Amino acid sequence: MEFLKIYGSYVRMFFKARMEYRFSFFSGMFANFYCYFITYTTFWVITQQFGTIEGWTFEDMTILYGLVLFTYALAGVLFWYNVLHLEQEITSGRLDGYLIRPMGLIKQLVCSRFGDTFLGQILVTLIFMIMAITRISYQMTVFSYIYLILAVLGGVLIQAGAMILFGSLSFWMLRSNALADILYFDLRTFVHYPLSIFPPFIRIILTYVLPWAVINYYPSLIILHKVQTTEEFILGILSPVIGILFFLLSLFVFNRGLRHYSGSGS
Amino acid sequence: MHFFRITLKNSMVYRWPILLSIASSVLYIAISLMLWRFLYRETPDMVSYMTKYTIVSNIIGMFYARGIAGRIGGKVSSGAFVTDLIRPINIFSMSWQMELAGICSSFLLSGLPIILVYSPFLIMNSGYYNFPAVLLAIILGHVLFLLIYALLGFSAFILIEIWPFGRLLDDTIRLLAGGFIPLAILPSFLRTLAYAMPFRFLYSFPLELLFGTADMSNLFENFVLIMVWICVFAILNIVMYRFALKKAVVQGG
Repeated sequence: MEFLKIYGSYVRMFFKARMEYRFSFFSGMFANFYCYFITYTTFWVITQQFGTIEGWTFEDMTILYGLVLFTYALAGVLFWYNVLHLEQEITSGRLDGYLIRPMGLIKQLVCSRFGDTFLGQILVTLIFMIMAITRISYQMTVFSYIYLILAVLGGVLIQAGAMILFGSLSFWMLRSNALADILYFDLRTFVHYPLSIFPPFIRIILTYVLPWAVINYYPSLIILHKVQTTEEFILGILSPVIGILFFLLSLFVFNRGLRHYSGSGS
Repeated sequence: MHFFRITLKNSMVYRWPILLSIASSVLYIAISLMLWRFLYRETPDMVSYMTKYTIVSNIIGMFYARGIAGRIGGKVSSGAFVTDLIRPINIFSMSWQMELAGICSSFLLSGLPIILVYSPFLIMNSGYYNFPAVLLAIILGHVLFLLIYALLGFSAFILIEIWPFGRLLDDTIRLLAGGFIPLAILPSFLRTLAYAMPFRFLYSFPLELLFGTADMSNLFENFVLIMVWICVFAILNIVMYRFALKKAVVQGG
């Protein structure tokens, strides 16, 4: 509760400062909005041309992509700037300053920068997701809506966990962003599409090694009634639990890394 | 040449990020290839076409350097732009040389490995035409791209933060230049929009020339059009640069 109060003060201060440059603030948000609007347009173009992708219509694709984007944006508001990009704090020497303050390191990093640019992403995703859900409303039950909320929570925890995990690798490697680019951002691109169109080993990697498919693919199978195997059902239902476990694992790695950290140089 | 050499050396200092960026480029192409292979699984000719289209468009993309916007924009917002005025080289030429070095290192470190990894696919799906025209189209595309992003860099005088506009530009190019989705696939209203803008000359035009799908009767007309767009953006850059010089206030003695 105490942390939420402090965080609220930081956010208020951040908005006051950003509002000094209103044009920059809103143009940043609009740029993010536009970027993902174009991505949705790309999906629309592909589904217009090919009808469906392995039985997934534009609305289904919107939910699939929307889940990964929405959870990423929510996690990004808190963790993208200074936790995922921890290497900047380490190599600039700023991290040492955080360590002498009476607050947990992750909490300080979260407070130090509010991810305002993600607000545009959240907005565009909500618009497309609500439109898609309205169109497929015949498939939605009360259970679907409750499950959707839980799946979003699970997805946010996995995305936040990934940001903490790849950020914390900087404690050992000093520079971990390039690794995050490939293992997080690039590999996550696969889950923008139904995994069934890719070779089976990709589904295995994205389920059991790096659980990016648990963010959106398995939950989408459940929401859209596309589950075909028991494995898919279990993974989908357990996605919030997997999210919690992955988040705890990432915190464990972060704390191990912090113990290992001894400064970035002279 | 000195700026060129320094930038080339700088770009090769951190080896791990370079290796990972190669892997990242290879993976990105692999994802696109898998998608097109699935979508066109019933038409092998289209699979072959989209395979070479995807690989070559990614290679062409390396010749287009968007960093010039950041270089110029960064100097404008930090004030370093003023100190560059006393140098015997203008900010545009200096930034262009740095970008050229970046392109060379990117091609050596990322482009060649990509060509090597995907060469079996490029050889298997052969059928390449009009090499001199393609080369000319890429060179002109490079100049056009550079001028568009340099204009964005100079606009930092007005916009202060240019990254949102850089992103708008990147995404518009992503959709309307034909780098990922061929323009022929776009719905008619988007295709009309793409043809009204200069971006199709960056990817779609050289790729169509290379794969022999371009309308050769319009070849001369298309090259004239690129030149016109280059002139338009060159003039806009000059106007913006002069405006910047008028607006800049140098503090100090």
